[in-house]
Amino acid sequence: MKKLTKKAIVMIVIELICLVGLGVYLTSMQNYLSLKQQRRDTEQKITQIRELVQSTGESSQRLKQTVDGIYQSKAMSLAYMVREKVDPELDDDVMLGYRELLGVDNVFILDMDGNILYKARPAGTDFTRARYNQLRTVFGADEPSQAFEVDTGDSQLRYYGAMIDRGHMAVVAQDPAELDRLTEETSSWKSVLENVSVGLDGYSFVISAKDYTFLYHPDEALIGLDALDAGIRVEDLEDGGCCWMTINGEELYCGVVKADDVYVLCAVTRGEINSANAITVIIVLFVFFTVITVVVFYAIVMLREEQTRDKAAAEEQRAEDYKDAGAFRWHRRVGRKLVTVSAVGLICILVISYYMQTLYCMSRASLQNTQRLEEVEMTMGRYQANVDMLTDQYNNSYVSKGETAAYILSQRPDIFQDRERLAELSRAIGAEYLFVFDDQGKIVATDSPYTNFTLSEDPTEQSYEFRQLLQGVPYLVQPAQKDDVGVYRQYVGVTIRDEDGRANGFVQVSVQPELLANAVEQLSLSAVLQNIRVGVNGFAFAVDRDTKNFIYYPEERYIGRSAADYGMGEDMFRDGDSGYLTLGMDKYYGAAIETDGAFVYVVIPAGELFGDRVLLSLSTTGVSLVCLALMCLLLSLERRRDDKSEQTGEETPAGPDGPIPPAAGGKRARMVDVVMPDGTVKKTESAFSRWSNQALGWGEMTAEQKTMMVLKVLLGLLALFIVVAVANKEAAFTRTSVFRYVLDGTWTKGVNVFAVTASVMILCVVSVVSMLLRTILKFLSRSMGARGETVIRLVNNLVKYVAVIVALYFCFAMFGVDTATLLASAGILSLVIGLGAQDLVKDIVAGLFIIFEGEFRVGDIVTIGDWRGTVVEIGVRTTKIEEPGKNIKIINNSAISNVINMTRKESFAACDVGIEYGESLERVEAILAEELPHVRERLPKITDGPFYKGVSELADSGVIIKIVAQCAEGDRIQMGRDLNREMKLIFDRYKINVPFPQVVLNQPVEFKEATEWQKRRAEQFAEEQRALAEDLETTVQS
Amino acid sequence: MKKIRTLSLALLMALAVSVFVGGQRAMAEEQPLVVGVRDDIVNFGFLNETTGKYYGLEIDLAKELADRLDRDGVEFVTVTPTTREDVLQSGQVDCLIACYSINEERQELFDFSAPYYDDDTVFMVQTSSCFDRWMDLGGMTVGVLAGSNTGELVTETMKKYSHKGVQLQEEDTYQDLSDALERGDVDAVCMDGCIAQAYMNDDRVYLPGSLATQYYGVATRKGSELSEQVAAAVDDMLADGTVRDYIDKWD
Repeated sequence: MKKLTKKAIVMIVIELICLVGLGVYLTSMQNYLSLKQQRRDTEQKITQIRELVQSTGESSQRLKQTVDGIYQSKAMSLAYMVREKVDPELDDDVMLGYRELLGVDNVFILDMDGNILYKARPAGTDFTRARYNQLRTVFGADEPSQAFEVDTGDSQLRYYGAMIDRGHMAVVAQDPAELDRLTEETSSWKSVLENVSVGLDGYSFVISAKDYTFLYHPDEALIGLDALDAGIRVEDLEDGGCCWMTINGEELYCGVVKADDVYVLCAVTRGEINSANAITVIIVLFVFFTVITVVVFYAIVMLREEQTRDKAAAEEQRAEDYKDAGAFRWHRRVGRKLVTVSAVGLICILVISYYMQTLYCMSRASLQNTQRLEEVEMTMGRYQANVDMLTDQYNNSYVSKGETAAYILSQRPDIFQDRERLAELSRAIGAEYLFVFDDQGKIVATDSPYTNFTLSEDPTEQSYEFRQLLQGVPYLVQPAQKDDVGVYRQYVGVTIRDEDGRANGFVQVSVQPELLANAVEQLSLSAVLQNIRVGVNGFAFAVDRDTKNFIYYPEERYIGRSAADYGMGEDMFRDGDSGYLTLGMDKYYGAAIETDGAFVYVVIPAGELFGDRVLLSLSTTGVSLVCLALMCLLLSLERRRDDKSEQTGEETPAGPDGPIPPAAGGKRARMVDVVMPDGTVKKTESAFSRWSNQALGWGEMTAEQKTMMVLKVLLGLLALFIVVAVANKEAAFTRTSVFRYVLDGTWTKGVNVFAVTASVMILCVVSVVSMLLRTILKFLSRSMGARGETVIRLVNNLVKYVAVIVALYFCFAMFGVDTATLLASAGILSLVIGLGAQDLVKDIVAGLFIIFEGEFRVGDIVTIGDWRGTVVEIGVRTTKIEEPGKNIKIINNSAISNVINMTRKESFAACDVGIEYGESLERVEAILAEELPHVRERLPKITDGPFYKGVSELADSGVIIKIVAQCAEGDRIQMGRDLNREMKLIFDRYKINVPFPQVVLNQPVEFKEATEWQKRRAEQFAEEQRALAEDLETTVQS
Repeated sequence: MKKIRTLSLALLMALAVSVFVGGQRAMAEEQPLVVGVRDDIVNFGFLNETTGKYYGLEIDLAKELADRLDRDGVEFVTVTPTTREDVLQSGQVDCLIACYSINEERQELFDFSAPYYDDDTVFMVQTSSCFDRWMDLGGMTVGVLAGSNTGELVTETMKKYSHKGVQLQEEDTYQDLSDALERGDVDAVCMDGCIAQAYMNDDRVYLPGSLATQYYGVATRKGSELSEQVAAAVDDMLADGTVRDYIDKWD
């Protein structure tokens, strides 16, 4: 016994070591693989950020160009007006008017050296300085000068120059605040990086390469602080590098992009990389722990049973149980069982770790895909904002062009008579063509080929809109649209007014907004999708919602083709789908969103999805195999010792938990031996025990039962853990956790790994809840009477069935079965069942009546038909009655009729005794009067009586008198017998004869002795018969 | 009894004296190294206002130097080109590591370590001035830092390139120089490359070519005990690649 304890302790220690070992191995392996994966992701991200930074630079450049272009054109207009002497006399007031007209901050006319000739407002600056050389470039190149900005400390202005003639130039000055604002909006680090998703919870930040301060960080408190102080090492800031960094103690895996004088970093926390699959590791470890615990426990229990078994039997078995192997001997029976259990356990470990890996990979891929889609959405939003902004800018400038033209027209109507000069004006203000309409909407002058044109009166026509101008609307900007020839063109109209201020026709300007067209082009889905990086071999594509044709696909030849032809099924065209797709011959895993007019998909090849799951689960199983093999060997091997020491070992007295004590008196043995058809003897729990409401005592269990018990406890713990986790998922799991993903239920319902997981969770929750309920009920039943017990048993059953139904209902929902329909069809179903299972329904209804009318309760003694017995259980469908012979009869509730419940009141045991006619009745009565009290004393089970009830019959051969005694129904039969005995004894004592039939006897016959042969034959015959009819034992009734 | 008390008092005093003397000796070695550094030159000596700490090549160098001289840390004092010589001379700092270039004139005043960094003196102009070579600067105004040796250098150099020569305009700080260039008060500025880098932006360019190469060294008081130690330590740092690593770090 001591030896075994020692062994158990050693095994527990080894088990813990194995557990820790596997834990370390799994964690490091997972972390290593996650990091490898993260490295690839980060490298991808770096490329994306590089492109993003570049495109942001380009778009900010483009914005600058656009805005500069607008003001350059204003400078040109100004130069034109001065050149053409639109106002015959120039002075500062006229300049002020020009400033208003052009909508700029200041305008100047300078001579070649930079001396100011006319100005709208004081300049406060000296244009002759070399700083303004840029303006003078207009004389060399006959085109507006490049913009430049001068910050004089109190004012900041951007200058644009245009040549008037060889000696003069027009200069427009504009505060760049608006431009700066726009640039900030579109290309600040915040606006650029905010939408870049890194990993699942990661982020990007920017560090200045000049002074290593944070230029941008999602945590605004960090901006402006020193990055080196925060923990970043300068050596790590290498363009294109990926490594671990620390910011304020938080470890991050960062990728670095150097752009100009900043480092852009994308960071993922160590927590995310490592803990993302912590749950996977925990579950696998738990399974391993369970398996190994079960193995150890089973072995120890078996060995103990062995030791405490009946010694003789043990001696006998010992020899064949052991196999010698050197200094050790192998316990064959235990070993064999352990190997079986271990094998099953190993399969469990393999399956579960493979399953967990699959779950992890898929949930991660789904989350990532969703995130990428969000990125696409946000990028498109950003681009849209960009385009809106540009459009605004353009529209303002177009109106300004129109106004300038209208002004010039009012000053110099002669220009409009000459087509050539009109064309010159168009050029000067930067328009394609100019049109002048009269108050009837008819063209009166233009430099375009369309000379004879009247505004349409058809509201669907493009030109109809301009009729508004004839009613006095000051200006109209039409959105850019493609004209008949497919050129992007935009029309702007500005009303001309006569002296009274009435609308008197309008000037229309047409422009080809190339830059805007470019921007719109940029906005297109294709451009956005092209820049999205999806994992290593993944990509994004888009399908038109109506035509189901590819709008964008990485391989150009597919664009415009039908997606259905390329293997996409109807069910894939929907929002938020996360699942498998087939494109051509290849299988992908992806997600989709619906944007206006299109479905956007991001997909990764199915092959990429699972990474190293096979490797991981196999290696886990491998390590477990080694551990288990070691454990099995250690458990089944023992040092060989000589018999003597073994004897002493055996003689150690059994402790308090020694051999199984024989079932306590009166208590029925709940474990019984059964002989299986093949002759082996197995232990099983008796029917009574199974039905009884009490758990089996620990000491009564077999090794297998104990092991099962341990397994149950462990699994129960797991289930409890899952329930707790599910109940507060917000706290238990991070947003990126596998389980959180499953619980959030954003995956497609169907037969997939998530549905399985969700179902397992549901089962756990339901079973834990029902188990709790049933435990409470069990406790209740202990403190309640018989009626309570009946109800509780019923409720217990009810809980069981409801739990199963609820679990099934939700699980079906997880697997994509339409449960609403299922419920609706349940009506029809119930009809079908009602017909098919009439008996069942009858049973259940009858059961309900029995319970609620209280016909009988658990523990009552009843007679149903010919059956008399104690009610053990009233079920929903059946009732179990234990007859005095301890057999249990199971009666369908519907078959319960003609019940005699004999427990309601006390029963009477009666005894009829005859006395001879010759006997004096008075003497007998006098004796009885004296003796009956003694009988009462001798039979303590009599609750009242016995009473003498008088003469019940004057029978043929005697006078029958009746004695009755009150007793419990359970004692009634025995009581009858006891009374009979007492009467006989009393009669004997007082020499009272009991009449009996007289028989006349004849001369006896001589019997022959049996011969030896006959004796032997008879013996043999009896044996034979007994053997033959062994199985035909007649049921014994009391 | 009295004897014992006296004896113990004497012992105590002796102990106190020995501790004090020992402490003195230890303190001499463990005093922090006081270094004069710049606070406005990014990547060399730059004071981050938010954190109140100095960063840059020269700061790292100063820390390493203090380490190698077994000093108890390092203390920084901000110096400017106009103040730095006085600050060192007056003993407010032990040494200068402040983009202080070595030349003959200065070598007469101070001891210098071997140069740890060499830098080109360059012209920086606004793009809008359309200058692209030194010749264009003829007759223009060039901004230089007051107290630096750049002024003479510019005058000397430009004599060869333009008969018009250049006008010099001195400003007190680099920031003032940069502002003057921005306003157009000066047509070009001339300063050391590392400093110019801090004021460089998209609207400015360097004119190609270097006026002179400056060698930055650690300056110590003439003939002081520290001079040799510093020189030796800097030689070590140059030899074992420490300086090169720092330059890479802050490049």
